[in-house]
Amino acid sequence: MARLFIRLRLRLLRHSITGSGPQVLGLVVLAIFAGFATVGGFIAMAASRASDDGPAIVMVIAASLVLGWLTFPLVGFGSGTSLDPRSLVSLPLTRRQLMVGLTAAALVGPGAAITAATMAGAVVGLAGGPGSTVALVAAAVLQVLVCVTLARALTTFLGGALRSRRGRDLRFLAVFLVVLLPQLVRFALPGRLDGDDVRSFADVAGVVPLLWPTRAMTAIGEDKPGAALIMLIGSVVVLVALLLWWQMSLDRVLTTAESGGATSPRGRRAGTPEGDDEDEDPLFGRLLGWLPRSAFGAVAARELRLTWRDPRRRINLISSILLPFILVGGFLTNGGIDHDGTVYLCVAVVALAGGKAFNQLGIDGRAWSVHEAAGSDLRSDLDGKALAVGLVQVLEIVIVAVVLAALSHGWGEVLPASLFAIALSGPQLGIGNWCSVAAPIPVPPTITNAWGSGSPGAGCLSGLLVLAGMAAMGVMAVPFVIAAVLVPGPVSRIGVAVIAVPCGLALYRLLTNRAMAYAAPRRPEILAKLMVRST
Amino acid sequence: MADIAVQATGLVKQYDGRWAVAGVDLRVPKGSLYGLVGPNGAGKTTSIRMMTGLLRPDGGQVLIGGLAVWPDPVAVKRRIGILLEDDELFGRLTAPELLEFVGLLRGMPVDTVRQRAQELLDVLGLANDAATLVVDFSHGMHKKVALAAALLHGPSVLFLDEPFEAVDPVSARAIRSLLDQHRRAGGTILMSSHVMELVEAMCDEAAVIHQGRVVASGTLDQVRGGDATLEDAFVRLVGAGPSSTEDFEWLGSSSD
Repeated sequence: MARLFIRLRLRLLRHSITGSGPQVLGLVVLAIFAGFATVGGFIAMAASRASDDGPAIVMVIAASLVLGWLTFPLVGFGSGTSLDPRSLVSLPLTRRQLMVGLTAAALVGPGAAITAATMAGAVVGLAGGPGSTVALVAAAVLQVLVCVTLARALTTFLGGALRSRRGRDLRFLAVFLVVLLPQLVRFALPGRLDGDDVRSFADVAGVVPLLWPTRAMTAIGEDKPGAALIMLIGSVVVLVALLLWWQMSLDRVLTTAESGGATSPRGRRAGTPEGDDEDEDPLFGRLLGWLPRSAFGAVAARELRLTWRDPRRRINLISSILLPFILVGGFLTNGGIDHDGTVYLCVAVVALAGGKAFNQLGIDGRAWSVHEAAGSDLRSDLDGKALAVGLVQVLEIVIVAVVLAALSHGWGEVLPASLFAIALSGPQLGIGNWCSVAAPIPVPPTITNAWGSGSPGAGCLSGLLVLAGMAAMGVMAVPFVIAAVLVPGPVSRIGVAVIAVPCGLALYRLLTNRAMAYAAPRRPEILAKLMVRST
Repeated sequence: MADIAVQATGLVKQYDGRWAVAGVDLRVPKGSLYGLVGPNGAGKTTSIRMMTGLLRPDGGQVLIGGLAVWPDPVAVKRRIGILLEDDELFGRLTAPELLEFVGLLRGMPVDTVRQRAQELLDVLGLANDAATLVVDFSHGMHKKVALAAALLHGPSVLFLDEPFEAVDPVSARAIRSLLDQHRRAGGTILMSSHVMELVEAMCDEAAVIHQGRVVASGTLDQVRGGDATLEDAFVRLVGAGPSSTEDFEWLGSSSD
């Protein structure tokens, strides 16, 4: 059975690389990364022998491995190469057969290779005599098994939730936050870590049961056989507990039905406050009641509603607010930022937030056919989307400007900085419209994380599109930035900024007209690009 | 010509050197319910997409109400309603939000949109799910809301790709009633379906598409030819005679 599952897993991995050029390129990059991680993990662990803090270093590296096994299977859940037990329920397999097969399959792949090589490095790094080596190998094998079993148990336990729409949405946000976490932690940590910090972290990590096998290894390395034996026995108990948890979760998967929907029988309120106004005016409601009841207003209202409801757009919103702070984290944590810097940071917000403006049709994907089937006016579509993005952008600009003003005591810069940034939004949204119709890249609604894309290589293409758009945007920004720098004092800058805003709007109209002229005769071709199914 | 609602002549479309549609000619009389049948991959959906201005043909011409679809598909789309088999909607909107959005996109007055949307949701049995996001709908509910979006502006010609797929019998009856009403008002419907009984019961005329070509068309009697049912005629026309299953004696033989 194990051999069969390994063959299945290898076949799935092989099929994942028989694709287009960009897909193969992406997988080659992934393979190179995995190769570096495998070799690097081994060398880092083996080299810990030369350090006084060797056991602590081993513990920190093992902790990062366990963290990886906790998060990566959740990120990749449901992808082609992951074996979801739900897809095996109709087969006459016993629970034991499934557990053996799925464990064997999990041991094939880059994650298992990196973990095995890294723990082998730890054996080399901590080895003493032949007796200790045998114990180290046993502990290393236990650590690998704990990691693999943990991942399988977790995905089986959470499988139902992860498959539901709400679960997918939550996972989308959680993965984003997990990836962002190291950057946010940077603010809390001192600029340079020393040996004491590493030892303190290792002490804390050593208490976590999932790391007891590694704790046993460091105890062997420190020549503490009693502690090592206790940790080894504890590790076996942890592994058995994980196996029992997995077994119970598998039983549930094999014998219960999943509810497909995430709603109560009567449905749930779709993020809107209950009330007659919402029922009578479903698309606009009270909050968006000021928008015109036209195609333009309808597109803007839909986009604004989706800004929070659609997890992909939600991530865009959160990241565009957080990213400027992450980028200037060094400035902020090392003595603040001067007043003029506020202007540039707000400009940076516009540039970074603008990524979502460069693929306005692609984010709708196949649903864009609703526009096409309605024979809608493209100008209304583009203007409505630009208005929604622009409004959210203004909100982001104001939030960033106020926070930066508070940090730098540069309150006088808030207004000119915000106005310059708003002015710059004009050409940026115009460029975005042009990119959106010239190179629409469909983003399917069911991607599992913020970096996922509809088809292999699409993410790379999308990134290039954003880079090209941002380069064009950089050129457009030059006169605005020069004006902001050369004009002395906040009051004068306000005067220049007030003039800049209509200039920005004029550039928006000019660029959007160009986009319209390009797109009008090519609408079926644009739709065809958006109708491509994800693979 | 004045009695023809949809006329397609020599429609062709090629993908990667393979003919998806290899020359489709259709004449759909005004006020009729016209059935389009064919095996999977025969070219029905591709033909419908080309006829509705959603996919540019490699050749051929389509007239709807005497107006050429190409090169100005937008003008034609204002007159027609389209329900595609693989329609993807804006899933993060509720059904009333989606219908209001589509109505305004078509330039309809907002009061009219709301009134019609409510009526359509009522008759299609979706009124109780007005607060549910479309992404949480079942396949059948998804189909019904897509149909409501296609009907909202009262189009003179409806193109429906598998409108009854995954729809429960109660809703199917409601849909049939809506389509009857549409025809009584002078509307025309071109409907694709895999269910021969349905086409036989509902349609006035039909065309059978096979390998990208129309292999039979006309009234149901003409399409049936000498066969007793449309299904028999269909099987004969697409060349899939009764297969021998004598080699499958092992079916159902498992003793485990």
